[in-house]
Amino acid sequence: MSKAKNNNGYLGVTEPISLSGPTEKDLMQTAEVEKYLSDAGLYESQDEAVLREEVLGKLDQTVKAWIRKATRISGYGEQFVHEANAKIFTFGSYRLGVHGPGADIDTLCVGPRHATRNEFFFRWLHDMLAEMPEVSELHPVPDAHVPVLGFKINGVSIDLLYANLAHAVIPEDLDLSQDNILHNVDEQTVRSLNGCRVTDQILRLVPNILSFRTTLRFIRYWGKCRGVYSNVMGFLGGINWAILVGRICQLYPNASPSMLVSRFFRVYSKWKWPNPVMLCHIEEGYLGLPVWDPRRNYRDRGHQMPIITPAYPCMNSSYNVSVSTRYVMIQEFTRAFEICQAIDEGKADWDALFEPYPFFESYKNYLEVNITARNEDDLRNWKGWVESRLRTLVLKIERYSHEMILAHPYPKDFSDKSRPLHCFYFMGLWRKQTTQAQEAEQFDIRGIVNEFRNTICAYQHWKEGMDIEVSHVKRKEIPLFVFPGGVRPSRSSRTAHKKSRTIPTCDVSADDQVGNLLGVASCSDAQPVPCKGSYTKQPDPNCAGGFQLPGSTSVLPPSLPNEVVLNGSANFHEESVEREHPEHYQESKFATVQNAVCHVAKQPNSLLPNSNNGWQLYGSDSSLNNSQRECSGSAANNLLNLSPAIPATPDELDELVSSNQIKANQEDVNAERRPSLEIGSENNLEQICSLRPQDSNDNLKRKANQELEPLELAAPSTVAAAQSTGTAPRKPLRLRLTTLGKPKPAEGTT
Amino acid sequence: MAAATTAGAGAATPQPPRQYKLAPQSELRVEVLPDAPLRVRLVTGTAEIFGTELPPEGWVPVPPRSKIAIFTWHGATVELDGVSESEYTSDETPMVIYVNTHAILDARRARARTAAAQGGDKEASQGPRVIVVGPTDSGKSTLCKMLLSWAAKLGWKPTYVDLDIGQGSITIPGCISATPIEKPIDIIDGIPLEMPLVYFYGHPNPSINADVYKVLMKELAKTLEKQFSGNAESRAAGMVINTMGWVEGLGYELLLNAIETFKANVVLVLGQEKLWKMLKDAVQSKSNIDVVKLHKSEGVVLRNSKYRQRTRSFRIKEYFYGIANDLAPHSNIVNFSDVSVYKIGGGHQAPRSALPIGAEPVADPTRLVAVNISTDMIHTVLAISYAKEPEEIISSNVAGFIHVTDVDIQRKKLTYIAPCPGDLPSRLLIASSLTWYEA
Repeated sequence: MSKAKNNNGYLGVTEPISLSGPTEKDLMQTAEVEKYLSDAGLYESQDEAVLREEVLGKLDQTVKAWIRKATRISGYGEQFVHEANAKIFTFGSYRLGVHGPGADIDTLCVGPRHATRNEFFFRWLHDMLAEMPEVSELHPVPDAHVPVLGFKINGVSIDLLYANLAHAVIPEDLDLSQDNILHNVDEQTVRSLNGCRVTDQILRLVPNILSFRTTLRFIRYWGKCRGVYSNVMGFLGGINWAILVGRICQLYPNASPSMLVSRFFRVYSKWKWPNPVMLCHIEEGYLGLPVWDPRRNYRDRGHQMPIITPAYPCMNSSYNVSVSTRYVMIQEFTRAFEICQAIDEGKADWDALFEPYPFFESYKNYLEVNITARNEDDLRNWKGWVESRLRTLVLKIERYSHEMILAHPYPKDFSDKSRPLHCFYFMGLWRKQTTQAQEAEQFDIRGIVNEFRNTICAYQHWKEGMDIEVSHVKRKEIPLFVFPGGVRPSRSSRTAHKKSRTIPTCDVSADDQVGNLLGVASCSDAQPVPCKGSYTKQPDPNCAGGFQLPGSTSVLPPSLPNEVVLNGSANFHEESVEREHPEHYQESKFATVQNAVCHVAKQPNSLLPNSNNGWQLYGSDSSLNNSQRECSGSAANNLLNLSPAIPATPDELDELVSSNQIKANQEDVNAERRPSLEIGSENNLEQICSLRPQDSNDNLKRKANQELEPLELAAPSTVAAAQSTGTAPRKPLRLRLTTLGKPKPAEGTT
Repeated sequence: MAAATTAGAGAATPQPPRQYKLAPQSELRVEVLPDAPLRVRLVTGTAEIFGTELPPEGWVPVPPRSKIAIFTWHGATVELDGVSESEYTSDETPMVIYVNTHAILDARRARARTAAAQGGDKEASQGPRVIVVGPTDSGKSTLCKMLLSWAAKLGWKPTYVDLDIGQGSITIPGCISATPIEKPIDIIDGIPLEMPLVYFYGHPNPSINADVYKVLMKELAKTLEKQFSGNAESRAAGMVINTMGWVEGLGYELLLNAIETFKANVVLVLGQEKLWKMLKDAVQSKSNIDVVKLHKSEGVVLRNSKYRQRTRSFRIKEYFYGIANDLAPHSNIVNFSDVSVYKIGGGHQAPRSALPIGAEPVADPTRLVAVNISTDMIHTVLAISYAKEPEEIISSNVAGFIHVTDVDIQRKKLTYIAPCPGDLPSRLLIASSLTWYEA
């Protein structure tokens, strides 16, 4: 077990940045924070707390009765039956003390070696629970990466994991923090135990638990409001946020919650990712289990935002994070930090931080993922599977476009009352801005969408009726059911702007309202090609010959200029197309499924002057989809325009200048700022080189990322995920990585 | 001296009356079958069963399922009539040690009475408060009976306190009780039931809710203190406290709690040196507590959990039908609306390992919860509380018990049997997990 405290007398891998305690102002702000959290309904009532304790007590008695029964069935004598024991532990938000009303309780049952998981836990205990009248919604998931038994007792939702220890008898005072309990157990047990071991270790490593709890409640709530709280979608989950907050508590051990919140956003908006966030040093241990080490484990090298768990075996808890989601989170940290500064200056209040993220107004282009099944049970299972794989679509888009196109997944699903047994997900698409004068490269993502669909439909528990459809929709075509009350929010300034950009079509007039109506009608009619009416008559002269591929196939050294790098990317693209080609012509039981992606044509002469740097996607001559042949005449003219942002208005420009001036006056904690993803081609080139030293490794990293499951994905999915089978590497050296140097003599005020 | 003869164990054929000539300080050990009558009589000399003398020249029936030892100080001849499960004699007993212990306690009682007569302080006028502890099947109940009977024979009126909720020697299991013992305990009828003081825990196992068990102990001790303060004779006679056989973990913790709650000043440890050592260490800071190690009798019969379970059922049945099945309980029907059923202690307690780290439980383990009457209640025992208001239930003793025989959800009526006819003394009832099925 890692040392909770260094010899130097501080917690964590570095010295604190500041030992200052709260000022009078901080205490007032902290009181406001606590009142805000309370008013937001984040604390459960006394009655609910009592009910939870009763439920856990009931469960404790039940597992003890179960283990005695299991022991007797196994043929042991009465004395051994009498001594047989099983214990429950909790972890996650409940154990951390930051759970809200109605939250699940993450629970672990620890049993002795003769009570095996499949035979006893998922059979005998399942049957005992099924017979209890107070138990409902019993839902076993034995094939999950972390096997789980989900159910409710008296309405309280429980996710119960099982750890099958090597012990003959489980002592009532069993200490899960001892590393030796990991000896001679299977990997499901290691993963099941990790939740408890990590949760308890975090609380051992933070200097002030009460401040930690308040700050963590705040950050979790903020993350949910801003749409960055979802491990399965590639953002962060509860354990990630806890480690991030814990690290801030270590750096500012005497600060009050309001100060910790502000420092949280400041530190992580400037963090030099992928430098890892750690609460303690990584130790090899003696049991041979792999720990996180990007120098030795190639899979660890591709992690975008490593947040390392503090209990052996230390691992990255946030391997789901992609380039896109990391970018979104950094933007959110930066926005929040600016608001904190305004709060500190008395120009704003805490409300501003929690303004819901305006997802459906932030992008011009979206992908809509529509899934369906024949009944509620099938839809629930199908939904769990699809949801767990959506992040692979983000990764495919990033890889295919060499990270020129990024995808922002919305972390929740939607349902349309007019279409029962359907479920919808959305992703915002945007293009990374460059300063290059030449016309933007165009990408056709239909191939990777089809690849994604094929992967999804290989679901091990697939049933007749399960289907998925991925469509491109423009902002104005977003269906109404995603908006509160089914009403699209009005944006008068954008409406005016939108009119000037409307594209004439052969079927409809240039009137904006009519266009919206058509979009809605198309969706409700569920036509095979919803955007058919948007096709233009005139072909695009630039696309006549399809994509021009250079002949070179050599591997490029990183020191070459940017233009040559682009040629390298082009080669990668060509290779990708060739690989995907055979899949297209394979017969499949889903051959009759209609076109998954529709594109809107746009004439180049209609582009606005400030869109010259925008990229366009267009289809190649050859059709990648059977259904596309129905529209072969105009397929070559399909285009997808992905402009990253609306051009800034003069007012916004003034605000930006003002913001820059403020930033210039800030005291910079880091020696140098990490370059923005959108700044300068030179930095871009540097980033590309550092992120992908070799193309061959890139594929391996992507595959590794796709194989891994999130640490916290214990309950919701019925996924039969492929088991991760890696041989334990050589014992890694002790790893000391930090992005923060020694603290300055005194913390300057901002 | 003629050697004692031994009958074969498990004899199936009817046995003629047989006599045993017992040497001084030896005993005849007999295990009685459940369904075959057995009686004993004293032919010559003197003999006793657990401190109560056998009458001369009269047959005494022995209760079914009893396991008794007929001991003689100076030699005796006894005669058995009927079939037994086993019977044999032994001359190895700890009786001399036990009676010496009694003599010491008797001296303390005499000193206390003298102090009371001379207007001494409360402590000086307090007789010995004896708590008998030890693992299961070490003879604790038997030792309690002997100490009580010997004291009563000398004219004292000691108070018997039974904390063993698993067995129930004063009343049914699931209770902690106290009663004065004014004469030697009857061989047939056992401990008299004229005026017991009963607090209802409702389960045979204290781990279900240890906090409620502690609260009830405190309430019982509080009531006894009031009685002692108003009755110098009772205070001088002191008390004998019987305990459970669970002496590890929570059981040990509850033992320490009992010693403190009842202010025991004599701890008799039966049959386990480790427990004696632990208790000596635990109380060594208190100079007024004596911890005495006593041997257990080799004749103590081991009982498995099935036996205990059956004994519990029979004790419940005896409450309604009598030991010899000679009583007739009354069947009654009551409307749901005419009674209120409560459960002490709410649900199970969450283990500390499952609570938020550093948090204290928010659920009061001794809280009262109203219970909906349902068919789950059939075959269970409900206690009738003396409380006037629901919130007084946990601090009140109980008047008696009923056994639920039927619950009619449609007509909202509950059918039960009770030892006495007429209306219930109170409408406040306490639910339990004690069950009995009429076989």
